[in-house]
Amino acid sequence: MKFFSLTGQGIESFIQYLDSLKTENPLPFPQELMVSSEYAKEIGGDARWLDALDLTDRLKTAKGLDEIVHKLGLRSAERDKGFWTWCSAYLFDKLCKSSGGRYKPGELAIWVAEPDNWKRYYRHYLASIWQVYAAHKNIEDQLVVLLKGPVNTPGELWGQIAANQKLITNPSMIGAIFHLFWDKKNNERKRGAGGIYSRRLSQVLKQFERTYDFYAMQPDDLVRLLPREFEKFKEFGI
Amino acid sequence: MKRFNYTGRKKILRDDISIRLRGEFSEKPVVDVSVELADYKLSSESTVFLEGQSKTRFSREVLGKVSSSVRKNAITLKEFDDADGLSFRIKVVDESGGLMEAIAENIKPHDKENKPDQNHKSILPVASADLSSYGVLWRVNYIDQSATLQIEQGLGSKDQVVRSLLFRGFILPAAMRQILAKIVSSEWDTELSDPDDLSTRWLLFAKQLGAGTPDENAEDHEDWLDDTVRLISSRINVRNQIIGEFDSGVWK
Repeated sequence: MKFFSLTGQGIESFIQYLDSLKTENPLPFPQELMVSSEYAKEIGGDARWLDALDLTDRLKTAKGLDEIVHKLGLRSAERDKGFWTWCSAYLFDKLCKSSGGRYKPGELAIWVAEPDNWKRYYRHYLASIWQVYAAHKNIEDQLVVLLKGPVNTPGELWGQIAANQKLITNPSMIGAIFHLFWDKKNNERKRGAGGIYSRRLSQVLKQFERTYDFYAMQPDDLVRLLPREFEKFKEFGI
Repeated sequence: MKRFNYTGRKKILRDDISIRLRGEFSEKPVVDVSVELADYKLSSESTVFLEGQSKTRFSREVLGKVSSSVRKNAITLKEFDDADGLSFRIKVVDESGGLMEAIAENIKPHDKENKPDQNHKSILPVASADLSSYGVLWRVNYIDQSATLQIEQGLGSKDQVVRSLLFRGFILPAAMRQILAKIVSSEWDTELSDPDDLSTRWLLFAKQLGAGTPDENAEDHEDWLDDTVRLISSRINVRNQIIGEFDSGVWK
């Protein structure tokens, strides 16, 4: 099978399917989205590239998606709502959580990419992690702090940082979060990184961004700004 | 509630900034920028940045060190396909510690004749958008200190839509009421001191229409909202025309 891009009608059909899963009368998956039709336009490539993604690992998936975008020659991939929505429809069975034998699709923005609205865009399982990877691939080793875990479990730290476009587009901020929340010795997130401290970090940074230009700062300068409650995460020769 | 600025940051006035497009709003933006800083007493060691933002795209450009007049021409903003919806920030930053000395936000570019985009001059800019995920034909989109009325792109040319009676009679007053209701449902600056603030711009707009300012101690603001929307609708002045049109069986 080739890659496709969903048309407006295709996206509507997918949304109807997703909505139906929350009712007592779920519809069957709209297979017409997977063939060339009024619902989907062929792009090319080979959809098996998506099957090869390791969806248990967001960083590997993001990297794989970046390769796919390049192989397909997509020029404005971040704006290609039809492409990303088709990819998530194609992987729906693998990505959608279920309970009691029923799909639990969650919010629409997870599946339908919203390139015009960052507040929704960052929630898309695939488009969001690809865009962050594409923007920061030169510091790929540090992205692990945000892109750890399965694609369908983004976590609190991602929710707090990626939700703010000014934070997630800033490489120094990625460096600061890596400094704070990644255990370099055991190669895992530090305890507390995903809970209250990620929420507090987001709140504190919102206050500081009125006074500081984060883009002009180095990761360690950002870390030094943080109040005492973050001391246990700071790694300045202790 | 009155707001205080404790940050020490200076606000750069819009009159001191010029961002001019070399081409059309529909083309990849190339801009000439000038910022007059003589009156702000800023450190000459600090750096002036231009930041552009539109939807999910972002750009940042160094304009140079602080001087009385900072200019840079022919900046190609390769991150953007066009200038539709593009807005800018000017930041003056002490790069040694990242401290922001001064800022101007939500600056819209002017066209090559140095005129503002008529749409963005409006209190409520209108934009075509794909609203299929929302299942509606219009919605208000809020980003930072701006509100945009989005119209489903499938309805056709935005210019045609905004001229239509349906838009002016039904959508526009409802959208404006929605924005005003959101503003008065939370705290606002009663001094109306910051024209960059969304709530201040809208409350000044309502005041100019004759609605006065809402009573911050009122239990609810329904009366003020009704009165303001009445004044807005009166300015739009299509009510009787619509009644006349619909009297002749336009409803299907």
